[in-house]
Amino acid sequence: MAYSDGGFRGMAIAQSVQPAAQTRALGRPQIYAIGILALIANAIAATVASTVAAQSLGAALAAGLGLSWAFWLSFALTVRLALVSQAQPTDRGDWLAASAAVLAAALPAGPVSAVAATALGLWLMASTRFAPQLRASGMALVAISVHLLWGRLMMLFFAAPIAAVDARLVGLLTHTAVEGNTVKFLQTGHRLAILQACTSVQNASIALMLMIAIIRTFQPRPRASEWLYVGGAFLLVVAINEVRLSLMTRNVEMFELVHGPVGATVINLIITFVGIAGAALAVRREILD
Amino acid sequence: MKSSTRFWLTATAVVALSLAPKIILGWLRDATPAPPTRTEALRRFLAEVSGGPVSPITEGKSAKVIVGWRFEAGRCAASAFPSSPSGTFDLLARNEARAEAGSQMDYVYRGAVGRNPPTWTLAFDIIAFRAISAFSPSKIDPPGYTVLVLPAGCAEARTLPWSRFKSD
Repeated sequence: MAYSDGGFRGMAIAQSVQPAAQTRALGRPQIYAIGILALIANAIAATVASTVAAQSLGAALAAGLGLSWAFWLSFALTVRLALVSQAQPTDRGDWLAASAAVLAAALPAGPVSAVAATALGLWLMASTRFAPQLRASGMALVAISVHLLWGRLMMLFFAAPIAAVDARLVGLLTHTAVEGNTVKFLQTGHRLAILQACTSVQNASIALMLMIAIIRTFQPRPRASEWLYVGGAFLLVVAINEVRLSLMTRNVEMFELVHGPVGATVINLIITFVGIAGAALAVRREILD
Repeated sequence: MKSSTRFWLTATAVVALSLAPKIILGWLRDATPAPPTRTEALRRFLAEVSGGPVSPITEGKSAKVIVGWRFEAGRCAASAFPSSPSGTFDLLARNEARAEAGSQMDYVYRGAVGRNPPTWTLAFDIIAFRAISAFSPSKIDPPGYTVLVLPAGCAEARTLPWSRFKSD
């Protein structure tokens, strides 16, 4: 922790005379970190359980327990942000908020945990009495909840038109016939059907979640300029995905290569790299200082 | 005890306790018999109302997964598919329709037959289902519609008593 204002010494002196009981109690950062842990653990419980049930534990771990490694990194950074925030005593509002979060997490419905994560994240962001890192963890928590719930809800309604837009963009690149969400192969009579999991929006949401978590780690206070990098990363992921889809339409062999395990690993690495690189560019001053 | 140790012990206990209701409900669901799937419910309905044979449409290299049914409706040979998982856009039904020139697809949901998939109605029903079913110890399939693939000039399948089909 670094105190950049002149109040450091006064705060240090004040802390040294705090009663011993205060150091044993959970402070504001800790109780909110517990709330975040409980909410996200419960939001992903069903996914993790089904992944472990479907394969060996070792294979499930290698597959990220059904979630991307970008998610796990974002989750870890969010909890860390809360924990490293300035130590502050708790008040009744903190205990009410954290208790509500844990109670919501305990409900059997995983989506309720994700909704509660959004609510807790917005609460943390909105309160000016919280330390900057704690408020930043709220923003990262909202980004995670968007990835876990709101993005998927949006896809229930808009997956078909989003896939159709992707197909149209691929058709522009390959100059082949497009029908709905399908694109004709270049060299054969096959058609590529773009399903929800392969849409650009689905892939971009992973990079954006990671970007926000990394940016907030180095720069807790939002800056307007960082949204340029977020927007740029989104467009870059869309472009990369369109190129990937276009490669798949060359022929069946290329489809099986790009769509198979090797291609999936490569695209996941590229998307993760875009998220990390975009975030690093956005906070390059803080990293280099 | 170090404060970090105290924190992680407390956090682990809270997370474990919060996961307990999900784990208990999961055990209860595993112990209860599963109801007929939508695919099987569709077969039973078609066998009852179509008056003709109902044969499976399979998928996969070993052709073990039944994805739909062929049936006779009046003078026509049609096919019906339970809607595919969200985001897969009924790919198999579309392939079936594409294979037969002039075929068209209709969508059956809540007893009504229409030309367009009931995307928004189904989306709201799925949201409600996920909110409510999590509290149930029974295994329940999420809601879905039925896709009819009808040859050109064949309308009989639309006039089947779909309001009696309860699995969608």
